[in-house]
Amino acid sequence: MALGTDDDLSQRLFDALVADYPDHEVGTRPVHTIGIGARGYFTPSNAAPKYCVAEQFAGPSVPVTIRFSNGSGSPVEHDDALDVRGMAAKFHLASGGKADLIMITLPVFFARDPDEFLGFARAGRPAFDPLPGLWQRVMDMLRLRPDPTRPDPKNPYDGAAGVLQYANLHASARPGTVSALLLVTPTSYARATYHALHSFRMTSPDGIVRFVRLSWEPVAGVRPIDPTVKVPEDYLRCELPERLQREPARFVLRMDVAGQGDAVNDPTQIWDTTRLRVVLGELLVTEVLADQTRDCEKLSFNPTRVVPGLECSDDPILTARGKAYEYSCWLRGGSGCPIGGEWR
Amino acid sequence: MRWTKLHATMMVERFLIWYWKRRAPVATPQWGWKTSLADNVQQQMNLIMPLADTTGVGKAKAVQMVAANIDELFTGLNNIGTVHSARFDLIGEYLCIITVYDGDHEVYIRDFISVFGSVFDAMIKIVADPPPWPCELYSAEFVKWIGDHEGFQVPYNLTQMFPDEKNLENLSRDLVLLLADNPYVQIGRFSGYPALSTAQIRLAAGIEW
Repeated sequence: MALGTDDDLSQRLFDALVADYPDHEVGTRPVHTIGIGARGYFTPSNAAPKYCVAEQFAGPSVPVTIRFSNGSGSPVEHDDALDVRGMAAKFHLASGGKADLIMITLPVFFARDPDEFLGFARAGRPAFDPLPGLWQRVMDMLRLRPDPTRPDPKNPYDGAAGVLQYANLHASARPGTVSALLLVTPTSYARATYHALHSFRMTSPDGIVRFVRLSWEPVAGVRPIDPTVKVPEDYLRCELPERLQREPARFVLRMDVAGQGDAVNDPTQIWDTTRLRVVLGELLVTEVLADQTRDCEKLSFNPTRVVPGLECSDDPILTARGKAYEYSCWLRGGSGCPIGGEWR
Repeated sequence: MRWTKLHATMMVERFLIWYWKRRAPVATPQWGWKTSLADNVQQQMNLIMPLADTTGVGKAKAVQMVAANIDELFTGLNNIGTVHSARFDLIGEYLCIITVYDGDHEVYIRDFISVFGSVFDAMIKIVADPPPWPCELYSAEFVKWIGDHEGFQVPYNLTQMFPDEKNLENLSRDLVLLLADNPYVQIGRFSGYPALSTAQIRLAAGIEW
C-alpha cells in the first residue's frame, strides 16, 4: 500500500492512537480492541422510506453483523473500567452491497479536524498521575471542586490529566471531554445508547436532502452498573451470550434532523434535544457469532461505508476516519477493505 | 452529632460561595436569538410564585382559586392555540405554572394576559411579592415579573452554560454559584414529538382547534 498524503495522515492518526496504549498488540485494532461479534436483522419503520432512499430502509428486513466493544486500545480486557463503548453494525444489503453504522456511547467528539485530533491524542498519552493527597483534596474542597475520578483506579498512569489540560486550551474539545467525564459503565452492551457522532446526508424519495445524526437506543433501556459494586473484568463479554440465549436484544434506530444553524460538519457541536426525531427501524441482535475471528475481528467496519441515500457529510473527521480505518484494516490483514476496492 | 456536622458543612459552603462569588463570579446565561424553527416550538415556561400565606388555609385558598377559574383557564389556553400543555401545581409553599408552548415568550405572556388576565390578577393577590395589577394595565411590569419568577433552564450541553470558563475543573464551582443565584431550575426536558408545533400535531391527528 503506497502512502500518499492521505495515507500519511491515516498513518499519523493510527500511530497517535496506538501511542495512547503502550501495551497495544500489533495486528489488532488501534482502539476498540476488545469486542464481541453478533448477528441479527434490521427492520425499517414505516417512516424510514419516506425520509430516506437508502437500500437498508426499503424493507422488509436486512441481515446485520454487529460488533460491541470497549474503547480502549489495550489487549487486556477491562469491561469494568469507565470507558467508551462501541457498537459497529454492518448491513448486508440484498443487492450485495454493504453499509456500516459505527456508533459510540459519547454523543459528541473531541476534535473538529484531523490536526486537532492529533493534538488531542498526544495530550491523552498516559502519564504518571497519582491520586491527590490530603492537602490537594482540601484545596479542591475549598475551590468547590469535586473529588477527581480515574477511569481505572488501579492504574496510576493515564491520560485524563493531559486531556483535561488540552480541553482547557481548546474550546472545541470541551463538550466531548465533559461528556467523557459523565460516562457511565453499562450493565450490558445491550443496555447503552450509542451515537454516530457525525452528520450524514439523507435523501428522501422526493429529493429533499436533510442532515441527520443517528443513534441506537436500547429497547430494554439504559442501565449503568452500581459503581460501588465490583464486577468481573469480562462481565460484558459473558453477559451478552447469556442474554441472547434468553431473548434478542433490541435497539431502535433514531435520527435527529438538523435545524437551521446546526453544525452539520462539526462533531464537537451538540445539537439541542429539540430537533425533529424520527424512528427509522428496529435492530434485533439474535445470537453471538460462532467464529469471532473470521466473522468479526477480521471484518472491517468503516463509518464512510455508505450507500446512496444516506451519505457522508463533509465532516473532516469523518473523512479522515474513513481512510484511517482502511489503513488500520490493511495493517491487521482485515477483510472487506478498502471500500469498493479489491485488495482484501 | 449529624446535625452539627451538616450545619458546619453548610456554614463553610455558604462562606465559600460568598468568597467565590466575589473572586470568580458567574453570570446567569441569557439565551440568545434562536435560529432554528425547532427551537421556537415547544418552549417551556416554569413560573414559580411564593405564596403570601403559607399556612394550610393559605394553600387551600390557592387550590380553590385555580379550581374556581378552571373554565376561564382552559378556554383561554384553547383559544391561545399554541399551548401543548399547562399545569398548575402547588409545590410546598409555591404556586407553579408549568407550560409548554410555541412561539415567542413575551407574545405568549401577552396572550395569557388577554385571554385570562383576571385569573392572573386573582393569582397575584395571593403571592408574596406581587407586581402592580390589573395586569392588563401594567403589562410591561407583569412581563418582567414573570421573567423574574421563571425557573432557570439548564441546557443539555453543560459547557454551553459557561462559555467563558477556561478551566473545566471549575465547572462544578460555576454550577454551585449559578444555583446559589437561581434556586429554581429545570434540569432536563423531553418531548415525545420534538420540533412539532401544536398546530402540526392537531392537524395530523385531524382534531382541529
